Amino acid sequence: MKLGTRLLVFSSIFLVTLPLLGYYFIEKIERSLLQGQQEVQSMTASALATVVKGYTDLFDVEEDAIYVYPKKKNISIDGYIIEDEDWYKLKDKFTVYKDSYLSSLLTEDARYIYVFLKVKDRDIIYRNPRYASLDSSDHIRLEYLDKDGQRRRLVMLTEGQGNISVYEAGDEWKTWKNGRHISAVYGVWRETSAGYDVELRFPSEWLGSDRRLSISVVDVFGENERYPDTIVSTQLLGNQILNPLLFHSRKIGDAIAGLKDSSSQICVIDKYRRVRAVIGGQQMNDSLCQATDKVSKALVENVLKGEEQLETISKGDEVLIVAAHPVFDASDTIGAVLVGSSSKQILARQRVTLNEVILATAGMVALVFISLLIFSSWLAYRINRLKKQAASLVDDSGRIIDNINLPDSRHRDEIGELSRSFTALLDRLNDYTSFLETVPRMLRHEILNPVNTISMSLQSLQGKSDLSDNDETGDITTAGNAIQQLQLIVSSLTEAANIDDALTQDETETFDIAALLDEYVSNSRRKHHDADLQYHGINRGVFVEGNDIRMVQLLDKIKDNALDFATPETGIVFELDISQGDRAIIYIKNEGDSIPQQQLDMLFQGMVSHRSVKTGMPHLGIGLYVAHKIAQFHQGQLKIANRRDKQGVEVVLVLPTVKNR
Amino acid sequence: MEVRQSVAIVEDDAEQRSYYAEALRSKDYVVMEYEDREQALRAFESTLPDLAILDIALKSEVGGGYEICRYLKQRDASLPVIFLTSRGDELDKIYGLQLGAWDYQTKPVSLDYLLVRIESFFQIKKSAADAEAAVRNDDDLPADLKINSRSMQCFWKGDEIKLTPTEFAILEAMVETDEPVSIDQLIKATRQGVVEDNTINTHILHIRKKFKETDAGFQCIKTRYGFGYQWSSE
Repeated sequence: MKLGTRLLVFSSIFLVTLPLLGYYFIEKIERSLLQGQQEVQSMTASALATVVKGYTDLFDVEEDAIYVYPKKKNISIDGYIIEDEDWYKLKDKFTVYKDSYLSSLLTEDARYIYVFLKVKDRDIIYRNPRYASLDSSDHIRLEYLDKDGQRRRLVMLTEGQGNISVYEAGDEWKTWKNGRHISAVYGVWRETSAGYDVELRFPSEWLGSDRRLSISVVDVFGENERYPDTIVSTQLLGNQILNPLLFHSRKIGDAIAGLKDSSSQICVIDKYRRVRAVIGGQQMNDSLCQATDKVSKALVENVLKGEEQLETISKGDEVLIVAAHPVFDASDTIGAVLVGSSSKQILARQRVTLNEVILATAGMVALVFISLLIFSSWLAYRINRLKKQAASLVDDSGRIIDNINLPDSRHRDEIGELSRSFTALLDRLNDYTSFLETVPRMLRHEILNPVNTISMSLQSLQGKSDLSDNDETGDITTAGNAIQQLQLIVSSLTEAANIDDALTQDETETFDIAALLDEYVSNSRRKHHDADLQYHGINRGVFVEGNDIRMVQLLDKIKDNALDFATPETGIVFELDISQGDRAIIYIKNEGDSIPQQQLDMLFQGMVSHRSVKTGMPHLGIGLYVAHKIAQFHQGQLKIANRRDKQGVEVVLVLPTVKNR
Repeated sequence: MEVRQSVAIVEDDAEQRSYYAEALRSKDYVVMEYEDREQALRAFESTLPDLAILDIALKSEVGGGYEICRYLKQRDASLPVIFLTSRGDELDKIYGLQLGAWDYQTKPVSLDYLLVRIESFFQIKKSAADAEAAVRNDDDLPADLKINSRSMQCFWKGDEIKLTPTEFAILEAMVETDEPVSIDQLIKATRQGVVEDNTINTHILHIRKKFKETDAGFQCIKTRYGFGYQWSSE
């Protein structure tokens, strides 16, 4: 892994924990907010309970009061309850009488009281004009007290499904008072699988201040006799007093309106769990007051037993806090105040905070990331630059080729230190290479002096012996030859050691390598009479840049090598291949022993010789090293390989050609 | 009676120095021996020798010989100097000193050749007066070239080319024949001990340069790749 990447990964691990921490704190804050909210609601509930205590008379109503729900939506009188329209959310609020023989539901608006009745009847008997009596068919009776406190009776009947006919009836419900159809009361009769439904409306202004109203359903028995069989009424059995209608209490509403806040809903119920006032909570799920779900039901039951309640209900991602406080009259519980509020706002606030935290963290992470990226790239750049510079200072053979001047040496940080220690290292390397370079020179000097002394002693000896003794002369000559060999060794050592310096001092020019080769081979033939030297290639017109004398030196080394290894009586072939265009390829091939593969690559390294041939000349394996250096000087390549066509060795010299100026 | 010539030897190795001195004294030269640069320079302050033999490395001074030479050149530019050396790169350095008269002898030194060299320097001096008479100008020589083997003088198109004795020997070997002369033959002509091919190349380079200084179009010394060199007027 790269340095920068590693840094980024490690720092990211720590950075990732930041939003986690933020989330943890937000959660804590949310919890304490919810707790605060609960306390506030409990207090509100208890305060409200105290306030509404003053309205005990409003709670003091008979058990048989019919509850009239506030109307939620426009109701069309058609005999149908349409889901989510019409009788919005009131569908389950039917009050049931006598084993669900009759179910009723009432709602009101400013002008009308709407009534929906469900009646179980397997055998519906419709009105037949043959029967004059009003009670000779299944019908509905509606009794109410008018403004004058008079009891009025309305009969509603029909000859089939559809609109019902409404008449005012006398005391006995058998005859109408004036025979006039009352059109202000409008209703629709519809058959169902269980019996029939009746939906109707009734002008609320007809009611007296007492607001009492009862509804009865009369089932008529017998196809011919037709006498009322069963009467199911909203009135308690035997009670001649009409049912009081129970509405939302405006008084209580006004009393608690001042305590209303936008996010919570306040609901006041009486001991029969009828909602007497509702304030606020438009956006809220109103199941709080209607208490249909189990939790709320238990809560309402408990609070009506006189216990304070506090509940937190989770619904999906929403938390509903409900605080309930009973309303006491002396020691009796006459009702309860429920204060509910959704955690939506808390949650929304939390979400906003969380978003801000995430945004801030992301921003910070990005900022840290970018700075780290910049910092690490800067470090990587410096290290890379140092690496490149250090590498460029040293050539393949470990020689320092430039002044040691590394970047960042003056920086006081670790890279500066690295740079300084690099510099120190290179300095030492430089010292060592220059020491190595001076070794041959010193060696030459140190060896040559004693050799010179020996040589002169021999000369002196020779002078003194005066050629009188042939044996002595022979010894002296042998010693002289040995000295010459010693000097050859020293001189080839220094040649190799100094070749780089010597080459850089050489002047270069463009010369014709084809002409040079042609002439070189024919001249070499003159030098080596017994060897078969051949040249295959054109004899002029291929130009290379360099030093012709050095090229001859190179060819000499290769040629000498080839001659040493060639099987006697075989030829040494020089070939010039110019088919590659911008390159001249020179082959020098001989027949003879091949070279083991593992030695091939090492042959140019100097001091490596695989010779088994005894030539009488000292051999240090320096020739090919020098040849390799000269090839490099000409931007060329020197390769040595075993021949494929015959047993033997071929040396390949590739040189870049130039156009003759 | 002829005045004896004085020869100064600067060589840090006492044994070698004594051999040179012995050989020179046997030829009746006045020999002065010095073992380092300081000693030599101190002596030269008062008296200059007629010829100086300088080892290049003197004790700890790698180029001590050059320093002495520089001093001598200031005092007397025509004073002949013989360097004891072994390699071509040292030749380039000596050449760079632009001495009036110099030669070199490679180690191991052949005392016979050393004496011949010293002799030839004094010969040049002595025969400078009657140089004209000794100029070879036989038909064997190329046109435009005149050489005097005794005084080692060389004239190209009438102008004298100042060659060192070794260079003169190489030139002489080349002009004596119309054929190419091999490197080995040229090495022999230098009368040095072990000479590398490159040393001959260096000499040829110097000879060509010297000719070109008087005649920019000089092209007579041809390279015969893989063999040697040839004087050719074509």
